[in-house]
Amino acid sequence: MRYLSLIILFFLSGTSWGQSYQVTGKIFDHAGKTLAGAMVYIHETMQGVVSDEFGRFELKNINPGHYHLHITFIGFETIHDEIDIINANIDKHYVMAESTLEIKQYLIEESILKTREKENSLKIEIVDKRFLAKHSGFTFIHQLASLPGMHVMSTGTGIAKPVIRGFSFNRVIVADRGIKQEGQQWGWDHGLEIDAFDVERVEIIRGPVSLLYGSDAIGGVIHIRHPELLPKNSAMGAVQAVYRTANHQIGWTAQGRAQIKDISIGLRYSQQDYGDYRVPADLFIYNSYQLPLYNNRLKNTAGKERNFSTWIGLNQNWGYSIITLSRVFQKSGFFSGAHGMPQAYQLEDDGDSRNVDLPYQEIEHWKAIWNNNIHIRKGWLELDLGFQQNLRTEYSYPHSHGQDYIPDTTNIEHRFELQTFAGYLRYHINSRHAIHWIYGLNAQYQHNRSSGFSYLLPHFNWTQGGSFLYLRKEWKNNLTLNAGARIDFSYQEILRYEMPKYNQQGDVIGISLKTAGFNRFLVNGSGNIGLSWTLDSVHTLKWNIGSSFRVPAITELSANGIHHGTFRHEMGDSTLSQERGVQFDFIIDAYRKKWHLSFSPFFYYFHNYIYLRPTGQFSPLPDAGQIYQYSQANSIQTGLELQCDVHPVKNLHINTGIDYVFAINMDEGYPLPYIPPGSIKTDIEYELPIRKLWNKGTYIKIITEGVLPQFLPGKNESPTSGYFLLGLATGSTFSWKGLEIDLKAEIQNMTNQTYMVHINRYRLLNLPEPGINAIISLTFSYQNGFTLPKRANKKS
Amino acid sequence: MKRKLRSAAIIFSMGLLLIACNADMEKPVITLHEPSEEATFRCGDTLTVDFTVTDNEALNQFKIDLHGDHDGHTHGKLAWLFPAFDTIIVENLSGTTADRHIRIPVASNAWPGPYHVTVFATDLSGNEQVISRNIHLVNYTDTVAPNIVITAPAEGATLGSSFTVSATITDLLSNGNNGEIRSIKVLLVQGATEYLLGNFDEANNFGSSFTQATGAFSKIFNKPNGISSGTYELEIEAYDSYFNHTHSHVSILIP
Repeated sequence: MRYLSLIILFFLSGTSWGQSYQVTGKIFDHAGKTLAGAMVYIHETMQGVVSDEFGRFELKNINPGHYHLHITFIGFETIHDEIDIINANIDKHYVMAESTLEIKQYLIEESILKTREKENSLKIEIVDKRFLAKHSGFTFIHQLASLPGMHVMSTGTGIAKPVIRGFSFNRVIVADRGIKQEGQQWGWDHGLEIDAFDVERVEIIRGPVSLLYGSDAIGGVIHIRHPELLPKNSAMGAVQAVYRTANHQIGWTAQGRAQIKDISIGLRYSQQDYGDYRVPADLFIYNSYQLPLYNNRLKNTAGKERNFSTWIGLNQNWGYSIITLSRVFQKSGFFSGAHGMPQAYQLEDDGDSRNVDLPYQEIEHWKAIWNNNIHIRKGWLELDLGFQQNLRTEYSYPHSHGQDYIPDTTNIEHRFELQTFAGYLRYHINSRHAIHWIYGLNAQYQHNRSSGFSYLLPHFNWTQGGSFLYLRKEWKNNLTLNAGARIDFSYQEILRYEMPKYNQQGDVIGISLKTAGFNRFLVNGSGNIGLSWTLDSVHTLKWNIGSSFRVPAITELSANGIHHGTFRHEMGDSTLSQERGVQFDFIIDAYRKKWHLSFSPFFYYFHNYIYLRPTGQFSPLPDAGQIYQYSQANSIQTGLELQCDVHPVKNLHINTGIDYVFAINMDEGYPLPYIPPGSIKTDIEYELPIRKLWNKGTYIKIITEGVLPQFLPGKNESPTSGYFLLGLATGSTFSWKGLEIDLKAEIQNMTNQTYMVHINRYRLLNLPEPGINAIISLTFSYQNGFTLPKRANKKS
Repeated sequence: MKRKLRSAAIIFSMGLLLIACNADMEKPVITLHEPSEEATFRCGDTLTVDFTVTDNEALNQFKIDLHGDHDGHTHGKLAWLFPAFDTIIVENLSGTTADRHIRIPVASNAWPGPYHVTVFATDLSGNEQVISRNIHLVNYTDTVAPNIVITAPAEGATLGSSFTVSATITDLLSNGNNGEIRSIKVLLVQGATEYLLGNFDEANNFGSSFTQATGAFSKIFNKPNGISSGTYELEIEAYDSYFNHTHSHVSILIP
């Protein structure tokens, strides 16, 4: 740690040499009137200023280098510009267009790659505050599910996992501020520990990015970025409240932020409380039994969340350094019939739809993240360090029948204590006309201890690391090559795990060996090459060929017990080799004034794809069918995404997304499990042409989702019927001086459809998804500048 | 590009073809002749699970999972006081058709109540079928609950900081040595509030508190910490070894 600070100090001192320059400019609206109050923001240093009453802005003390400027103002389209400061000041004028629902091109410099969309061959999308505000969902992942190729795998309303191009679990990465989120990704009913309120900017990459993120980044990456900092000497505060009828969810959040000279601080608290969710059914059929659902609710699916996050940062002309600390706490019940086979007595109404009874889970996720971006000579050094602690406890009644007798003294079935230390170092050499290089290094260490009366996951220590080199070269402003190579290692230490055996009197009569313990060392190389070719002002073509890899997860190597998420006795195999994939994807983007079309078919071939193979041999454990063994086979996963935005008349916007995935185990000849069926999602949005001084926009939206039946289910999965959902949403933003009020209302599943989602946890029990759901959300935020006391001003 | 797309399309359709021709996705079919739904069995008798299972290719195994559907809250504790009649049988199968008549003897002191009989079957390629029935186990050997007579404290007594609870607890089949009283629980109850004073059972800690031969129960308890003053019911609950149970109580005053 000491060396690290020394290194950083060295870089800092190094960067303060030489002369600095200023960037000035003026901002106008379309009519040529100057705009006061627009925010001008340097992406690299996170420094921002606000234009004065004459529309002027001034960014002082900028070191020579390559920068991205963002100019934002409520009610106007954001402007993005790239500037190179070489040896002179820069003065520029910008004209801002009023924001409408016109077709926009995404800017994706948020990405590790820091490129514009056209220069990048990958399928990258940026989701901002505005998108998230318009797409409500029970969790953060539900909010993203309206994008084509994105699906949710959920357990009730509070637990959700992302699915990208049909990949899920350990084949999708969620990263927060540069650090890969490490929880229990392998488990179906283990949700993502992210506060939905605390997400403002998200980058979504579809396709393999093992090159940049290492093992597991096969299906794609969901990367949550740090929110933009405020302009110098200003502060903001916001409160938001949300209510959902389907599970009587009451959520609220409060946050405060300030930028005092070069220091930024932020603080947020949020909480959610929800009850058992309502379904449009009063019975369900499981194993040929007809079981009741009292009061149209799924008993014990209630839960709560208590989250906070805080950060403090320093940003100056050399870059920025920000430390974020967060804690997410979730307690959520499992449907009473979901552990072991459902039995009628468990389903009787307990008279309280908001309590959480056994079985339930508690998850506490702590994260400390330190992000640095430092200007060094011609490049930028990014250093992200993170520590995470994931504590997950699953509570249930011990099953005392069968051969493994368990004394009645504890309700803790599983407890996993996982600590993860991670570090990422990247050095960018970026200039507008030369090759853009990125050198990257990363390392991660994990330490897990398990306990509880059941066994699923052993104690383990896992060290992995890698190094990559990436380059981007542009020719004639319309052809860009992206290429990279990477080398990785992984060292897994799986420790011996024994559990006591009891007799019927509760005395220990021996031990039962769950895993003997073993070590695994793997080295891997992978690479990627992509081309982006802008044919003309309308069309862009992109190709990618890449290889991906995945180190077998700990469960895949050593599980031996019933995973309640799947009702299956899952058995690991310590001899699994790593999963290798070759992937091709192709993207056609066409932008016109009135429409945008993006078509992206993809094709993956896997060697040694790891999957759960039904063995045909029965588990000796009660409540379990046959043993599913982690096995390997060659497989293919292929499909497409089609996105189409049409803007036929002013203020009307029709956005359609289509996706389909087909995946097959080539050795056995049957479809891979947990593949979402094809879907078509359409939003028809109309922005009302009334726009008063205080009203910054009102929209009405019709949301539809059509899902095909999954008639190619995995082995022992049931086929799932298709369905069609209809929703309606409206929202309005009011702004007066620094105060902004945002009001939204939405109705989901308006027709109260009874439907099941093929990849959801409760699908196994034939339980339907929530019925009609009305949502109302209200946000107040206030932002304003302030003047520091004189003494402080003098100094600056 | 076109070529790549074309080859992708070829592999894609080949994949579909593979599914159609190669993979066995057909589950075995189980016909469960016995027991019938809601069938009733006597403790001490024999339960027969009679089924036929067929498969289009080759059968692999069957599993019978028989377990109590008793109230899960007391399951853990009572399951070993009253050996639940939980049984797991796994056997191999072969060929495409199999008939099995599995006879499972039911202990005469098995825990009576609702049970599930589940029959699973797999074929060689791992397709799994499952079928379930609800059955009831009835105890005809002993249906008479124990008898409890509380001798101390007296009805309406005021309890001190420690007090003696005495009772005579007998059962129909008590013969002095076999220990037909299985468990005894002593509680203080006021409305929905319960204070557990003690939990005694044959296997663990009857000790000097209870003598099977005479049915004499006596134990000194301390007043529970933090209990508020008022009128309470002092309750004794007893189970015999056939799961028959009864309780008896006296009103007392906590000063």
